[in-house]
Amino acid sequence: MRALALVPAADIKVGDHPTFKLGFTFNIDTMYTTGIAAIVTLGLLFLVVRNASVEKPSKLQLVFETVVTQVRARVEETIGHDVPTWLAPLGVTLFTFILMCNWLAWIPSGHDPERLGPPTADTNLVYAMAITVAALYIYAGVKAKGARYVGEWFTAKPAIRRPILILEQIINPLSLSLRLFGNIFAGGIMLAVIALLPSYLFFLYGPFHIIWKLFDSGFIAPIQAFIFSYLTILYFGFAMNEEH
Amino acid sequence: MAAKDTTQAIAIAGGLIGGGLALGGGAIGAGIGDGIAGNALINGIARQPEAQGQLTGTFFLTVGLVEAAYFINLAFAALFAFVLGK
Repeated sequence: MRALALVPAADIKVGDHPTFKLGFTFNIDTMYTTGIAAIVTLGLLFLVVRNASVEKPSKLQLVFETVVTQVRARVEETIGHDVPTWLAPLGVTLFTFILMCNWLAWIPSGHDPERLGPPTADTNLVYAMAITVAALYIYAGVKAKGARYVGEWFTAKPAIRRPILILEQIINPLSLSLRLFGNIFAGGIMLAVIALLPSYLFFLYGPFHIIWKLFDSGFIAPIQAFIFSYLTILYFGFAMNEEH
Repeated sequence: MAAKDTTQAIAIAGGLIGGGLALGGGAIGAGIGDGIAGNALINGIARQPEAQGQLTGTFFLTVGLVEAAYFINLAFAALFAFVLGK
């Protein structure tokens, strides 16, 4: 019975947010952390653009030039020709915004309730982003191929491909969003699990926290932001390219 | 934690077992996946040492994708263990 008491001692809350009701239920913390991340993203990008210079590029400018160059290269190798002009900016914005969302986890803000947790650790934000992306790539597909794009889901040959093509339209956004959510959310859960260490191992709290935070923010957060924007571009490629 | 009745005891047991299964299966899958990706990376570098930089970038992208499946499982294991098993 003593061993079982582990779970309530942790008192880890999952999907528990301060909310207010206005017809729907709104998660307040997700809303304002998203706002903060959006403001930081916009401010950072506008700052870089305003202070951009050819002779004396700042370090920040070099970082963003690398990001933009990478995204453009991905867009061009995936789609090649007739790229919508807004696709590369979309990729850059998604990457920066998701990275800023994930890096909000750096700010220590208590754990019950967490006031500045990463908003990507809430399914609502990631679902919204994935639905937006899905709507955009379906729009791009229809624009590139006309009604044939939607039509080929129902007329593809052999017939066994049809349910797969239709299911793909649901699975793609779902896996896109749950991948990001799972990674960032698990980062927070890991901290709570580290806090479950018995008290005679108290000297391990600090090192474990620091090691996990470094791995989480230094590796997982950028890689997940990159994967989200990269897969977005890939899905645009699937939607727009002719099949061979 | 003491379960008040049989239904709650079953819920706790089911939640914890489900979380354990999710974590275990996810860890096995992510381990195998990382191993295969690493295997391919070593093969690639052995064949073409000058492509190392490019291969390493793609390798980390693959590891990110493979590990993501495990982290999704970790999140759902937490859901099972800390929400349903309560």
